[in-house]
Amino acid sequence: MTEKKLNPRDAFGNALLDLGRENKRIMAVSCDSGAGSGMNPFKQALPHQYLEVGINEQNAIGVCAGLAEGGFIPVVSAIAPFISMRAFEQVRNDLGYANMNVKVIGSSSGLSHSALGSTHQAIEDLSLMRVIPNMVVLNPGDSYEVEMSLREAIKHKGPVYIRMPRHSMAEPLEVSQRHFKLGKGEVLMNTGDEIVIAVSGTLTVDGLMTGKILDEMGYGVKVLNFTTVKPLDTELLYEAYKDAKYLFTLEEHSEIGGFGSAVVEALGPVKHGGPIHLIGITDGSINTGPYRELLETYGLTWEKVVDRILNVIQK
Amino acid sequence: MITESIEKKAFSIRKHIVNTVINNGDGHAGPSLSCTDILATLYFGIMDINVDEPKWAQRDRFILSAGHKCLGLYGTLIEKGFEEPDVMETYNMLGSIVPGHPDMKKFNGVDFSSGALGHGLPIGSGMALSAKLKGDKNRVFVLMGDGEQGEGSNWEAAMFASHHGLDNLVGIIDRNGLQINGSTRDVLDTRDLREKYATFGWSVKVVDGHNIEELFSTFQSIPFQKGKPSMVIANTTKSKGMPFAEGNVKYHHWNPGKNSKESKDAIFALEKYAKEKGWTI
Repeated sequence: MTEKKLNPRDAFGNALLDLGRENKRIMAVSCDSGAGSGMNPFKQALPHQYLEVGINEQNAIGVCAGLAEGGFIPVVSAIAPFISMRAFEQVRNDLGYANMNVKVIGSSSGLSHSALGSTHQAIEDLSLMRVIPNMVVLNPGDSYEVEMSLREAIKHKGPVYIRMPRHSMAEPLEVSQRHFKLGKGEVLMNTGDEIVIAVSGTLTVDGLMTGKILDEMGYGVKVLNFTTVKPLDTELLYEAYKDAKYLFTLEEHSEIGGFGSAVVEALGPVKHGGPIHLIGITDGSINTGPYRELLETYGLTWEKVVDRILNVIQK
Repeated sequence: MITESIEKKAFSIRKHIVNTVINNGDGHAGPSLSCTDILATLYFGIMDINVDEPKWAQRDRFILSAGHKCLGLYGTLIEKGFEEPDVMETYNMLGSIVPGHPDMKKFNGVDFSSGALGHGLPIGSGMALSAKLKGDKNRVFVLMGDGEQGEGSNWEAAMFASHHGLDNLVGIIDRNGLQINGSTRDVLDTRDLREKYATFGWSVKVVDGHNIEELFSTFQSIPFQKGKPSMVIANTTKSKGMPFAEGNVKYHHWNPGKNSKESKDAIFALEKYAKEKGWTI
């Protein structure tokens, strides 16, 4: 694991600026959220490719659909619950069904705004976005994944939702060891088939730490990381699962409808493999507080995850 | 006279609407019939489009934000030559390219899919901004209902469009005064739409939505004011052309069945109208 890296917001902002310089069709669209999303460098350097819409997410998505129809590639950002939930029908109809080339950035997603309460937390957005036709759903957990997600999203022609983290995260591996590809997962650790931990998003390092501890305790462990939630890398998942005694999914999202659900949907028809346990945020959790403390309260830090897994496998 | 040729097209579009519902069952006849003269004026007198190249980048765009009026749009696009008339025989059938709300992936000439109310003005604003940014001269027309004005997204877009000076954007409200549950006055009052849009920074004109000459000259004067989006509030009659149904809220949907009295009355009214005009149908 590496030291904490660049703030995800800055990683996003720098990559967006690079991409905007290369491709004049890229429009950065702010819902009074540009600064909070890391778009300020873009705004300063490329003002003609920057659009401030104001606080109106439904209109913003429609405007982006219209811009995309005219050949632009809008990258629209707002705090995750507002862009994915207030404007859900616009995203579904005008981007998803219409297959418009718009990149929707749900910033400060998950429990990022841990202290601000349920209105500003987004623990349902993966569930909502992945059910939309044509929508690619990316869930980067660190600055490397943020940058690569944006670059791959721009290459992809069609709607993409990127669930942006807010806090600076350590990265599970050195960048030189990573091979990001849209639609593909990666193996972070492989010492055996007994326990598979499939993680997506901000808890990647917690997933890897969990794997290392279980390995030290003598279990054979695989830790897989999936930045792309849709389309899911079912091949990697199946290969890891077919001989596994247990599979645990881990994510900073509701246990209903998110990455874990996508894994269960994919592996449901598979004959081999052991039980699948979803580790995420229990339905109805509405606590607030400092970010790591809230993760701990919800049982999502590696110390808690180790305990949760041992509770299952030692029964 | 161009207005007479537009009037004939409006009549042909009404025939498509009435015949489709008689032959294929339930459709939004009333709302489609109220905007027929507007559609005919736009497509046969105002808009610059190319039937041979439906996706021509420089074309004027039209969004039927009130997507349930699609029978009117289908009839218009058929009259324009985008599809053959017999596609309407598949209305309400499995796999039809003429579903109950228009789909841009299915029907040539539909510039954007619609159906959920309050989506058209934001999308049209984006299209208009796109044209401005590229230096294109095309215009974007968005047809809405008056009941649809209850959707807040329209007012978000209204603020956005005037803020960005989108004078290549034209909103049209087909104000027939009725929505499914009753009159707009009773459900959610829309009498002061002129003042509302003017306050939101639009240049607004109120016209008779069945007077082709007035519609034509109004659309010819777009933009009404340089630097402002234009809004045409067209006062119309729901179910226009079917005397027994005109202004009657229960004809929002219509499903008379073949050979019913209402279907015969509707055909008779169309024939009578054409005869009075001296047209052969």
